[in-house]
Amino acid sequence: MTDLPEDLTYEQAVTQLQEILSEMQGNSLDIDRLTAHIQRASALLNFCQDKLTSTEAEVQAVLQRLGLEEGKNND
Amino acid sequence: MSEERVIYSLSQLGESLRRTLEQATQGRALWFRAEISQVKGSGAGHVYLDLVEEEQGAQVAAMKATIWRDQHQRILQELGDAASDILQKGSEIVFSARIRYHAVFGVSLSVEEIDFSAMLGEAERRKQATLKILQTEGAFGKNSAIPLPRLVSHIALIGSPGTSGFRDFAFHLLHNEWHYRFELDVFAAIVQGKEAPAAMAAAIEAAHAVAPDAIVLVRGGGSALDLDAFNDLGLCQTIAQARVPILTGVGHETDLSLADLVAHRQFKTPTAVADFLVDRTGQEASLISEWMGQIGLRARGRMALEQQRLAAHHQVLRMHPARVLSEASHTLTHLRQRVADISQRNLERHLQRMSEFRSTVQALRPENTLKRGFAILRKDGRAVTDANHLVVDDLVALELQTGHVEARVIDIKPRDNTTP
Repeated sequence: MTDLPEDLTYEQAVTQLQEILSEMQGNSLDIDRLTAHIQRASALLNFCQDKLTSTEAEVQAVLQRLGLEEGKNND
Repeated sequence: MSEERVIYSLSQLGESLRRTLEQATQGRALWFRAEISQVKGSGAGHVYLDLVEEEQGAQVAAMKATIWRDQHQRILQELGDAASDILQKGSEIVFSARIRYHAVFGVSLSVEEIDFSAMLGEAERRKQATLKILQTEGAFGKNSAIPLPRLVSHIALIGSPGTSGFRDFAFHLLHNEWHYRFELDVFAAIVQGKEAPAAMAAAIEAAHAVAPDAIVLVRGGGSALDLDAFNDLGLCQTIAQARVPILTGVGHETDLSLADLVAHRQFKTPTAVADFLVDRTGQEASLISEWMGQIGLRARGRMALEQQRLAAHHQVLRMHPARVLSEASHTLTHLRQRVADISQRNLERHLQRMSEFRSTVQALRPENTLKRGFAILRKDGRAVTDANHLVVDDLVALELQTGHVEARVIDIKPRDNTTP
């Protein structure tokens, strides 16, 4: 239910988040769907955050691939 | 042959050539335009140049030139920072030189000065001509009409990997303080000299294959003349026709290159492009974290509302038996009170009665009768109430209120019971 499609783009995720947020804005959303909405929203948020941020190791890997790794030239 | 053949030595030929040249130029320096195809420095501080002239890719002339140490130092002073960009392979220079002939090394040019402003002027004229062509083609505004995605994380980087501009961009982007994620695909291209425009255009074409969010074109700082490659018609046409937004960070102080003008957006330096991309991602990141808060808040709010509703139901349910009990208990208390009240009243009534009894009993005490003037007559210690129980001369005792009297019966007249 909270599985995101593999080809989901950041832009699509943001659009879906906007929809969920506006649906949650009013209190009309029924409580049974609330849980599903929250689960979906948090999966989307995680997806977006993951798209936005990377780990130090990933950065180093890219730098290494580009031959730009800091400090290694002097070794 | 009647004439006697004259045979010259090479040095004689050389000397003759040298003299002819000297007569033709009268030892004056002349002005030339040529492209540098190779630069070599010597330990003594001289600079050796290979100069060429090309026409449609084919060499039509070539010559060696030397900048002697003294001239070189003067030229460096005059050109300042631009010197290293000008005195390099691929650069077209306008210079004055004396023509030298050396019997061993042949003809060469001895460079006296380099006219930077003339070079700039030529570059500027070329730029204006290209600008007009691009305008008629409607090249401006084409790339900027392609929307930049809200998240630009996959970037095709076009530049020369060894240069400072390239490194500046890559480090600034990848080593951003907040660990925002960027994916770099590098399409290496030289960014200076004659080959640069075609190389950059080819890189832009190739970059489309990886479907990046944006293409970034970078070059480190350089002289205004060095921007020439970025004013190339072919490169600008390629940028205008690109199907991905192109951001430029070409590193210039004042003038924008034509590539900057046809691109989606231009920045002063490669670092500025990186900053822009990091900031843009930062905006997304704060939006996402704001939403995280909002969704949490709204969910909690909604849950709280639901809980209130539930609590209200619960309260009703819980209160029901309690109310029944409370009512029963109330009734019980009421009853108990009534019982108590009734008992109290009964007791009071009893007490009242007792007190009445006591008065009656009090009234019946013999002392009280004696007080009122009655006397008790006893014979042999027993009270006599019937005159028939006595005979004359009986000794009787009379009890009065304040003493006893001994008496003798003198006469007896029994009362006739029928007369009251």
